[in-house]
Amino acid sequence: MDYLKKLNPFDGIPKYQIAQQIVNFGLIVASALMIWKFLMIASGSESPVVVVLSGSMRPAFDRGDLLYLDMNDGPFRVGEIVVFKIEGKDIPIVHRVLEVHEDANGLYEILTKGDNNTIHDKQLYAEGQNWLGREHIIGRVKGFLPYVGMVTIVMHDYPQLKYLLVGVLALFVLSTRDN
Amino acid sequence: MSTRKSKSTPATDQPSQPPKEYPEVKVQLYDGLSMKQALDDSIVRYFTDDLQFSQNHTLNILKVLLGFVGCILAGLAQFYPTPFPKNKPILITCVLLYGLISFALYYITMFIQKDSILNASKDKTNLQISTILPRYDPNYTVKMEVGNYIHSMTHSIDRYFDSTGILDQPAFFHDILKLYNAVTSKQN
Repeated sequence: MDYLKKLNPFDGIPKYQIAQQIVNFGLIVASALMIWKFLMIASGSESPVVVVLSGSMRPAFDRGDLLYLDMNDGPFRVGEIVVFKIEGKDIPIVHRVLEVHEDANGLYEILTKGDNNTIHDKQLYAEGQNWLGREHIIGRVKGFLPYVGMVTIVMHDYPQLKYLLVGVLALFVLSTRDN
Repeated sequence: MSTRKSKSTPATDQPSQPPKEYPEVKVQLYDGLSMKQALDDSIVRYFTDDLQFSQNHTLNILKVLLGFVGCILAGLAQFYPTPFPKNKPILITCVLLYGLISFALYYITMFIQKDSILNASKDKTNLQISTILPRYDPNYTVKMEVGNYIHSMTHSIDRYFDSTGILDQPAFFHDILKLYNAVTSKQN
């Protein structure tokens, strides 16, 4: 039965240290979360880092690229690459601004098109929507890292990998000794 | 698996004599980290069980509390009901406080606790023990502090481990006790 005792990662650890291990695990999750929140504050966008999911912006961006977004109150200009969300679809789209119409109140109506697409995005917008407004846009692309986002795509396509990774991490953190 | 017995122990239990039997401690030789942990653990066991010291956990409990507050802050930042642009003030305070807590935890671990393995007290004697075993270096240093008196000793770890990796606990505790007596006698 000794080898069973050795397999148990909690053997030989005093009780209050178990609380410490649980808090340590919570702190790792909390740190990742706080870094994300900090990026949200720094960029002004609700989703400061996105992964490109389609090839509609080739050759500039391809599937699996990581983009850093910035969102401020400035005007939108033709030629900027923006990331937007359509009501009813929860996947953000990365395309280039094709037309900008601004009215006297400062409200924008924007038309977008992917570089690699043959037609503009009016078909992609929601039923009855012909233009994008500021409220649909998550941010302008300000930074770019190629290929790094493939990890997210793979973990999304195979969710078991996600659980496996979290499980392994949890086991590792809980079984290492602090002092 | 037999337990080791020390050679000569009187029947009456004087506080300066180590008790008779210890469970065997065996380590992987040349693994500095596990050897240091084995030595440190046996020191802690010796002082808390044999010499009846009571450990002072305040710093560790403080760290757990700080960590817990940090987790609460993270939960607050994530689950606060107002949607993004309007909850910026809450987010900023949460991130700032979390940064402070992270820094405090780092500071406590790196600068206040440093190499300390035991912080215990008995009858108004406050004892702090720190140990150092550098990487790839066989010299194990034990430093004891009681009040303003500091004593340390350095020995090569081959003094305490035999060729199969078993820790010679009576020999080790003999040296530890000698160091303890040295540091407590200076006070008198």
